[in-house]
Amino acid sequence: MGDETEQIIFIVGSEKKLYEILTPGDVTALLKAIFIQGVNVVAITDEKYKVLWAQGSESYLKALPSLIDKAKKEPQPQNNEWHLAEITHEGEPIGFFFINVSKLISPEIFAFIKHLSLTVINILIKSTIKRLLTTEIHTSAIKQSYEELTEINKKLSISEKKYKELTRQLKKVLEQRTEKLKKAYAVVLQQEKMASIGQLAAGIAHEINNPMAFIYSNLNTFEKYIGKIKQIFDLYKDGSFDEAKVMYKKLKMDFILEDIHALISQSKEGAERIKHIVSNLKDFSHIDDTSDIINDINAEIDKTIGVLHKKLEEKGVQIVKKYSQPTMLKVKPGLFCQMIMNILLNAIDSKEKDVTITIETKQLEDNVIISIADNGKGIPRSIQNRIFEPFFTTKPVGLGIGIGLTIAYKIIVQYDGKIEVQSKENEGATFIIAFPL
Amino acid sequence: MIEYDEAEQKMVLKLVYYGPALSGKTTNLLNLHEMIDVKGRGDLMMLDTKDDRTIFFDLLPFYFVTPTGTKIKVKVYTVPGHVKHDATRKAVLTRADGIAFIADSQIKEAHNNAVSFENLEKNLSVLGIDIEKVPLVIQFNKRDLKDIVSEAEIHSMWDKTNIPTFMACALHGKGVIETYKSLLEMTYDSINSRYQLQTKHKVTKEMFISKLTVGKF
Repeated sequence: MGDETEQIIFIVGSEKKLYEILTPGDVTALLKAIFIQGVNVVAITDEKYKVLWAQGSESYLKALPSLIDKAKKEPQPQNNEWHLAEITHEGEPIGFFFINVSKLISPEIFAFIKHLSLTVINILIKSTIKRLLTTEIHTSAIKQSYEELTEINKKLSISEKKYKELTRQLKKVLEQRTEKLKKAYAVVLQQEKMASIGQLAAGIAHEINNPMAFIYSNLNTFEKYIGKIKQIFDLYKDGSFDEAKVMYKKLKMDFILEDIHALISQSKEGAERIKHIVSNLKDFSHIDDTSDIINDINAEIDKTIGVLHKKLEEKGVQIVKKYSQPTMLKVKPGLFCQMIMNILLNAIDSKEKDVTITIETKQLEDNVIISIADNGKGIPRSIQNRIFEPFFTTKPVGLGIGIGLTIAYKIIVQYDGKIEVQSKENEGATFIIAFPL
Repeated sequence: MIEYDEAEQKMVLKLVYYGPALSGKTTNLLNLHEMIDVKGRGDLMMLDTKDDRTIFFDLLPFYFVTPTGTKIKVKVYTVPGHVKHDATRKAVLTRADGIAFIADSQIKEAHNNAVSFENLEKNLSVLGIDIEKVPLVIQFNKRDLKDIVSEAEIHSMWDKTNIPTFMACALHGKGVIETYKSLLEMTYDSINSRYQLQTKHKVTKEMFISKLTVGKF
């Protein structure tokens, strides 16, 4: 911005002197044109008779001040030798027009020259003033607009500063909130994990409890049997063979020996079941498995079904498997199983009873396709694009927080896979998962 | 503010005809020019370049010399009434010594009058002119038309403000001189003591008015 003091201040309609209004070029041209008509001298003076511009023969130019002086006393003599006329602007006399002619010019021509000259001078003044006023008003208006713009600019700069500061603060708050949200989300994910583990644990505990109970009861029976066997052995040790024989019968030793076989084989079977459950669980959790490759996706799916065995049995869910040949996949087995489980859990809950889940695996071009279809209530079109959003759930409060499918989605995306859902209301839902080979 | 050049012995006064578009400001000046026919009345300068955004004002100058030889020039300006010419209005209003507000009497123009008057108040305050002190008269023009605000209403609204009001029909020359004279009187009163018009320059109020208004009416 320029120095304020350097600005030119225009006042519209400021007072002007004649020499400020008329330009030498215009005036000289006019006076020359008059002079060549046979005039002795022609001049324009200021309001104090000081000559501003003049044209004439040398001797007349020299005598001009005295000629004007003489004319002051008699501006328009009868003999038409000269003429001294006032030039006015805005009603104010601002100068004089002086003309001195040779006697050869007729009075008519003289009158004509005089009249024409004064008219031209007035027109020159008027048009110049109009131009000056125009310029002044333009300049004033522009200057004002400029000043207003400067003021607006100043205010805008201040607002801009404020907004920048506000934006900065908002950004900070946003960052803090995002950080908090991230932490909260992580906590929720962890909770969900714990909840599924808890759910699994409850089912598994039940499954282990059953064989455990009869193994325990069998061991109790076995303990009693051992006591009886000891009695008989003691008699034999003392040589009381007859008594021993009686006791053998009394204690129904034949039955006991028979039953011990049953007890052991039953207990072994129970232990076998527990072993199987634990192994399933271990397989599913991949506790010992740090590998990044699945050798056979079908086997991994089976492991997951194995873990859910109890839940499936309770609800009477039918699983139909349509597996293709064993396929390898570069996905962490633990994550893969979790993803399958989360989708299966959804399918299991797809309606109250008579649920059938069809699991199909196949290879299509460079992709492995896994489709999990249920015959449940289906997913309404309006929410199909929301089911992978975190915390989106249709389950009643307390029964699901809506993170299962989000986790599944995250796992799939992590391995450049895709998941798609096809569903019509009351016609079940099909989740189609594709992983690049 | 009056321009006084002591060396030149010259005083220049600025009177401004303000008001909404088409209220008759130029018509007032045209009639003043027509009616006041005295030596010293200059030509009416009309910068009516209609298509130019910033220019649009008229100027009617008057000139007389006091008995002590002081030259007094009174320049009467109109401002463009249209809202968009505010910069021009401000430029013309700068240093105004007196203001005649020309209102349109038609009822449908009441809003435009109010907007223009508010604009005058705003611009005066921007230019540092105290509206309470500056000579101000209001002319209700176009009294010959139908559907106009009644005189009683005008008086009940404006009399309490001590701003003189005039009824006019500028197109037929009615009320034009009265408005102008009243403005001159108020202007004389406001500058007389400060510039010693009567004591130093020997200009009485009557002389001041007559020098600036003598004509064929």
